[in-house]
Amino acid sequence: MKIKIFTVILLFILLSWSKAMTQEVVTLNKISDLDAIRNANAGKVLLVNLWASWCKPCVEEFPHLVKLYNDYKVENFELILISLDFKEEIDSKVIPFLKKNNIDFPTYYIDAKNNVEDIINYFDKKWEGAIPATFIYDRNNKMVETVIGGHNYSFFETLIRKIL
Amino acid sequence: MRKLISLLTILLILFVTKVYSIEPGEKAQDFIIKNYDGNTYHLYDVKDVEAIVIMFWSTECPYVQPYTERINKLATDYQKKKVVFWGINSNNTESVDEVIEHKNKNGYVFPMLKDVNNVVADLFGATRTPEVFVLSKDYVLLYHGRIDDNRNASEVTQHDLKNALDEILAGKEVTTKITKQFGCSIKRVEK
Repeated sequence: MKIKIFTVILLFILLSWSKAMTQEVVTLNKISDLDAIRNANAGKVLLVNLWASWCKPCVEEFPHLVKLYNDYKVENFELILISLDFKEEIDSKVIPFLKKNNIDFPTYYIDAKNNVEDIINYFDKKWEGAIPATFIYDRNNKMVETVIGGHNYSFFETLIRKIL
Repeated sequence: MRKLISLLTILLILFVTKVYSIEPGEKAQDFIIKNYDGNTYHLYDVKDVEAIVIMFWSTECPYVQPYTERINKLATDYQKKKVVFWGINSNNTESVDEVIEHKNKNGYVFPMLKDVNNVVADLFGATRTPEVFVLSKDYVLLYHGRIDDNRNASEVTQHDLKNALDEILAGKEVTTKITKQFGCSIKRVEK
């Protein structure tokens, strides 16, 4: 009996550890694939952030968004991170960066090369393509904020507290 | 009082986050930059030209670096045809010394202006690097967008800036007035 309990605890610890160490980067073949992700999070406030490891303000902003997510996820707040990195740098730059920031939930990647206009127009036709770019959706899945450029925790907290 | 502070915060957020550029057909506002190279660059003093290319640039953006050779070639070719090229660095995180070092290292064949406090970026509504605005000799915006459609020179299929310049030089209307591309956001000062 003791061995069984020990085995279960060990398995639980291993699984938890494994989950914490997994940085799953899901590829979006096209930006409209995001529809399904948004629908799966119906009723939540979503913050969709487009970033890249080569983008300095994105890298600076990133920990602020992660902290915001950790602080507000209990209030039905969801963070969706979409990398616009160069495809050849996913393994060498994106995944190590996600590990460094202790990301233990799925994040997304889209190959921007042939999708620039589609990606931009999906979010905001007036967006010129500067990143980081953040788009906030309310609980009714309606986009209510466009934020271009890097910002800090309190900036985003002010925005989402209006919506939550 | 708290309501007023909240309102001001929201207005500040709206101001900070919504930078929209000038539209094709709109006349660019004038600007003067007294540059580190000892020259004064005054937009409305640019006369007797066919077009003016304003390029927002960065010393460190990975979307800018692959364009060095291409933009030098384009500028060399079109400056002979009375097209003026000005690079503008509006990033408050990139110093004058860095701009000078970067210009010398890359041998840019056009002036690189340092836009202190991103005044010019604000006038144009520029948000990223590289980002190009082509003006007519009367300073009206004719083309706004990318240089071409791929940072890898060997994979370019659309030469958007070159196409726009060719149409302008031929006295034609620019067919594609706006294009988009991802790039590094311009790091602005807080005003």
